[in-house]
Amino acid sequence: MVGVSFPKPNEMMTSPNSLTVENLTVFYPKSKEPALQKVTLNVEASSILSIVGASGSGKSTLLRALCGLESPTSGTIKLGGKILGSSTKFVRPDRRKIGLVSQSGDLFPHLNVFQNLAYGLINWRRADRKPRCKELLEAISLTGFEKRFPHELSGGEKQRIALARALAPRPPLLLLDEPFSNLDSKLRQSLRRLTEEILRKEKTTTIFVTHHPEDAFATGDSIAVMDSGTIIQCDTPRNLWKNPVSPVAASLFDQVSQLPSSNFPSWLRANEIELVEESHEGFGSGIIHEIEFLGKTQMIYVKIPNNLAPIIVEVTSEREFRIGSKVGLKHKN
Amino acid sequence: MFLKQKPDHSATWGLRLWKFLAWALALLLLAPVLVILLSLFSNISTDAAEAWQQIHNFLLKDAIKETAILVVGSCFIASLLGIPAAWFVENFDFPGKRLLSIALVLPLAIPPFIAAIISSDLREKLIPFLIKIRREEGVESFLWWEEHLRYGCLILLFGSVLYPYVFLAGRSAFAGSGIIMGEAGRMLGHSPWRVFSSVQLPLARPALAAGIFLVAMEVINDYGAVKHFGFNTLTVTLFTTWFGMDQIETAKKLASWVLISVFFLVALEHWHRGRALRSLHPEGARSFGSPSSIITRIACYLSCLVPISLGLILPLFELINWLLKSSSIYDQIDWEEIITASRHTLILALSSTVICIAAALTIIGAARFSKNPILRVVSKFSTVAGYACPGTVIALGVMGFAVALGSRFPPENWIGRLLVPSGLIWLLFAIVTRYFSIASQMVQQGLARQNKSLDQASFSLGKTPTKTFFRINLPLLKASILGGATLVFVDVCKELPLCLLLRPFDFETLSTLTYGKVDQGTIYACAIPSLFLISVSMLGLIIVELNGWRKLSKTK
Repeated sequence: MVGVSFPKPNEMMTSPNSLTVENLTVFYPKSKEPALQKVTLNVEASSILSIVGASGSGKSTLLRALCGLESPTSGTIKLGGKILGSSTKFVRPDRRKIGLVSQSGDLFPHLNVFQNLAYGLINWRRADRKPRCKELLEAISLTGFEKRFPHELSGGEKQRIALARALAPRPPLLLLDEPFSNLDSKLRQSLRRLTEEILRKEKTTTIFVTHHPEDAFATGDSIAVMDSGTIIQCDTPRNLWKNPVSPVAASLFDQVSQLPSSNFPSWLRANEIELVEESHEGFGSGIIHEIEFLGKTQMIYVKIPNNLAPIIVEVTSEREFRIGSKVGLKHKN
Repeated sequence: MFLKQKPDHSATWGLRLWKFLAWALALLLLAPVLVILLSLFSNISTDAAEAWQQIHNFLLKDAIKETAILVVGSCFIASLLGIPAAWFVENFDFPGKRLLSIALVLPLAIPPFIAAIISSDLREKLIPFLIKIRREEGVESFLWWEEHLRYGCLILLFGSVLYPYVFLAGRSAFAGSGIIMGEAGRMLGHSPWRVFSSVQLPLARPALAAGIFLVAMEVINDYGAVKHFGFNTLTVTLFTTWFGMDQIETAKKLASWVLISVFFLVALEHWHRGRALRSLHPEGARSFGSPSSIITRIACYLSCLVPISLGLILPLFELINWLLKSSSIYDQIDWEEIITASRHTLILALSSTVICIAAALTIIGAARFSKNPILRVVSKFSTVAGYACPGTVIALGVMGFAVALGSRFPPENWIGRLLVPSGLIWLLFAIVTRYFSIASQMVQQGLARQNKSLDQASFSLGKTPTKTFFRINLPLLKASILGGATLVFVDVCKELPLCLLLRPFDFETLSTLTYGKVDQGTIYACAIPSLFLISVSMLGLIIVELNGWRKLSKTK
């Protein structure tokens, strides 16, 4: 297993860039339910952990707790063996040296690109600041943009500058909070590849929160799935894809249907079900009530008796179906 | 501080000191109001109780009635003048719109008491009509007409010089989402009038209510204009009780009831505003373009020119007329006293502006970085207290606070000498308490436009909250600070009630000098100080408006 071990509470991670989180619990004020509940994970130095989860699953709270913007109610956060946060100790956000790139980039509008990049280099010698900024601008292919202001940049350029700014002081840990969400899919793809390239080159330990499964699979050495404030699974991308522990984990990457309870398995992915003649032996039959054409594939929604939600089946778009037709459902395996 | 909450581990020493300063300032600004509220529960002497009984039995009812009529009438006229102007200016492009937009705000430079004084000549034109009524219909009819014409003239006067509050509120409300919603309404087949009445006006109502509320507060606060017209509003009654009857305790008791009523109105306005959806303010908001019909085009110009004529051109014309009339007594004018009064006004305005802005940045900035909700509540109260309280109430509260503090230090002591109740320091304190709200609201609006994620980005790059405020938040607040400083400066220049009540002996400002001239009967001689005052105020307003236009054209 590369990059992340879950759980390995007794193993000591002493590399300065390794992150250890043990039983982290965070309650928001006046809230009875924890926003994070006994979260444990270890991220090895220079690796990238992707975190996925539905809205409200606790991803942002985890990042905020790592940054120091939320205090832990219990549990510990250690970076390179040093405690950053626990119920008794708290290191201020400005002293944690953890880089953060948010969805909106948050470039300072009154500072030009160079000033934004140099903002976190206040403890560096003056002679070293310019070369570092130049190096980063080259890495993000924006040489010559030094004197431009944020309002003169496109969305993709802003996100690249935001990434470079966060990396400028060489933080031991970098947090990316859905940095590509505001971009179109093509731009997102190219930025994702560029980001990974830079992170590998800088050897920065990174936690990358995203809504997009393909970003998580393509970028992370490992993926952690969050639900209701806990990590329900943490594994390599391939293992997670093959063996999701629950429909919640699987549904983040694929369309998933709950089957009538008498069936085993109790849930299946859309591409694990095939449509057959009604009379064919399968796990059920029903009526097609919706067809969603997606280009290369199409999603067929089949209503079956005794099931609240329709069964979703993914088929190639070459096949044609009609709403109202009766079909049988069979597990492909 | 007493609520159970997570300890603020992230507070640096700098932030802790900053928060302490913010608390101290906020409580200091609340002190005059608290002194007045405490007088509700304190026992008063027999003399004061008798005076209170007199006021309660003979004066209070009429004072409330007159105040209410003037407030309601003025708000109505101000809305009638301000709302259509705001709607046409925001929704249409027409030649001269920019100039008219600036001119529509300039009546704010004319203090109501100056407008009242210079309207004397115009009101004299009604005398023949009144004489005719007296002759033909008798005394009762004459008294009825005289009273109603007096109300009518003063209401029109207040509406004409105070409508810019409603205009400014309407302008920001009708911009942005108002236009987009309007377009949506037009696409669904509604006429512009129906779109205005059923979509844009309801959306704009909370903002308009805030503007109308400001008009109401200005009317309640006014002393000079109301006294000149011979009304005995609550403010005039307070003055009379304090100076005429020399009953400060009774005046404080009356002030506490005025304060409670005003706070009730404030709570109502906040509640009303809170229930409305926040407006969207999307970027790149645009107008409907040029007016398509000649009637709309005429309406655009009329909606601007009528308020400008009533609130700006007419008063200025009269003032220049008076200037010419006073030319015969130029050699009798004491230029030195005008220059001294100007100097005093400038010192007072500049020092209170600097203190208001510094206090606003301290309190609002600390509230932004503090996890303590009480600091946010206290800072909100200290903002509201200033703009909601009539100046006379603040003056009474400051006096009470000054006496209480001064009694702890002997007059031989340098602190005791500094804290003498008749000192300039208390006038400055009262002015800062009254106008702090303008500075704080501008700073608050400016900070609210800065997403907190900017602060978080700065923290992640190693900056403390204090450094973040100075390096990131403050530079981005330049426009808000300029706007707030200019508005405070202009309002302090025009301030009359506080200056009349709390100024040290022989300390004249342009406002008190002008008012004094009327009292002395040398009415035309007040033209020159009035012009000085109005010119300074107009310059400030023009700077603020041009700054606003510059920002608007940058975003388009």
